[in-house]
Amino acid sequence: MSKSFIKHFQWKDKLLALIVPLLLLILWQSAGPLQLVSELILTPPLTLFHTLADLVGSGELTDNIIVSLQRVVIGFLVGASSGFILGIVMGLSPFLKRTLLPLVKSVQQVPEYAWMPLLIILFSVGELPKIIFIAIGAFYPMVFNTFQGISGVPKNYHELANVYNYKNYRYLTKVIIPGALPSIFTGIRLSLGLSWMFVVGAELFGCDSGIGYMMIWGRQMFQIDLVMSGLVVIGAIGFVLNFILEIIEKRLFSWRRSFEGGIA
Amino acid sequence: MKKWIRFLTIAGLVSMTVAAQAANKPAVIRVGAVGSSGKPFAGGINGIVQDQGLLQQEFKNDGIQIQLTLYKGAGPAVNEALAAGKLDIASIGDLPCVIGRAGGLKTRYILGRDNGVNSYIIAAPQANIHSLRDLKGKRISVSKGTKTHLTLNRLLAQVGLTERDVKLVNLSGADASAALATGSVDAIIGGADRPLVQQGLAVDVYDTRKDPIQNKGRGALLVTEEFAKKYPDIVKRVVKAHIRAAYWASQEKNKEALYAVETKTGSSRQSLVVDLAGQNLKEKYNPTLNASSVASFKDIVDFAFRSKLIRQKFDVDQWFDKSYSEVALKELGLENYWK
Repeated sequence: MSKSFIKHFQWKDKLLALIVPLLLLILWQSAGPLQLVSELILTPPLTLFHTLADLVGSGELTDNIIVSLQRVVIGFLVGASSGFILGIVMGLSPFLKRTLLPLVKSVQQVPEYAWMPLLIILFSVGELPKIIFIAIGAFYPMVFNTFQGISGVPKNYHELANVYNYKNYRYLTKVIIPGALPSIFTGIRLSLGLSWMFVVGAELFGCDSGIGYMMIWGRQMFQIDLVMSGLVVIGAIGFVLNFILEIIEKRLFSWRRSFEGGIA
Repeated sequence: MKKWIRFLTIAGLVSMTVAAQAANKPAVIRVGAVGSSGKPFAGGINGIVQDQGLLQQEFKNDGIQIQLTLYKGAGPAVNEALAAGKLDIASIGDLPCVIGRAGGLKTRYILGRDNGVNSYIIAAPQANIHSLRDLKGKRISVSKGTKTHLTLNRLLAQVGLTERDVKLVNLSGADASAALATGSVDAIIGGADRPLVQQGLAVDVYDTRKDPIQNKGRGALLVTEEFAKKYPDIVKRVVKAHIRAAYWASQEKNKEALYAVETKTGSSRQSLVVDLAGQNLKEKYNPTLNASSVASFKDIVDFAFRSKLIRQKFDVDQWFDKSYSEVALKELGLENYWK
């Protein structure tokens, strides 16, 4: 297959990927004038652009993004590291796996948003319940992916570790974690993505800053353009975070080839 | 034969449409109100209209259905429903209806409703709050954008404070009560029902019962401009049904029955008795659009703009439409009752 042929198809793919969003954007802008949806409910993209520009100009958007990102980073670190440690412990110890895994799976069934009233009662309306709420979101993907990664470390790796007489720390850092790293990294990606989504939920309750709060304020003050601006910003930042992690993942695991769909 | 069936069907549909247009009446009137936090029942005048089936009675002979929706999300949720075109008539608090109008909702203010809605500030016993002045620097829970938000601002202004002198925490209903019970906030502002006080978990700090009526919350009955333009006579009759309810509630002899209606919202009778004690019912339930209500709404618009709750002001005089209530009051022989 010639290089120009592949290049042609790559461009075609990129164009196709642009066409749908572009059509949606046109439909979105025309929805008001065509009386499909009231402009009071669905802010047209051009109005949204002006609102976003105003929010950036006043510094309000940047301030709220910084506050939300701080919450995400702390919540993610707490939740993902707890999940990572528990995943390793359950992966290494069959006894702890039998003891803890059913419990973790049961508690996971509780819808995440159901935690918030309890967290407020237990930890007041300050930063702590918000961090814990985000941490809960980050915890599950990390614990399960770490556990699965460790469980899936090939048997011959363990045999090799025995040959080299790797014990405890060296066994963990030289064999187990490297062997489970692709799955752990998937956990990190999912955890970070969910942390970013959970921050909005965390900021719905008793909050006076952050992107989630900005959206709630917009709803209560019937300034729907603020709600839509929040949605756009959340989507954009989530996309950027995921993109950065994808690049890191590709560099770290360049040796790994995976099937990406399509017919060869 | 098939041709005849098709012809008759089309002719039937055309004649039905013509008849409907001639009668100039809708098949259904979509009414929205703020639902209570307890049971699915509206409070105040709306509750009486709902309980006595006044709208259903008014439109029974016309075959017009009444579709009542109660919104637990309070005023902001009613505004959203209006924006989505889901309502023709809306019953809403003072600040939310101003926010909605300033946000571009095409409504007309057609009747006043529940003028003397009291607010109560309660505090955690350990918060050491005994008066409005003690609120300075404290964490106060309020549902922003609702009429209690406005009342709180008015009360703070009485002692020379503003929102910036306190820490507002945006919570409502059960979340606010839980936050106060656990010490997450120092005080909350809400309605007459105060189970936390009855349980000894909070103490009363201040309430608006003895304040001038201008300082209290009030409600509004709105109609969408589109509905009003299409069905002016129907709007007048909706207003008439609400005036009947206001007249019934204004009479001292109906006070016991009024408690019975109000308890359907889930409020305790004891709280209602305390709330209404010494209140002039005629003043509280006065639905007329008078100079006082216009002035009050002008104040609200100014306050909301100053506080950056709304981005633009609007002309209250243009928004108020007395035409329906004036005719309805005359037809009911009540044109002088509330004067």
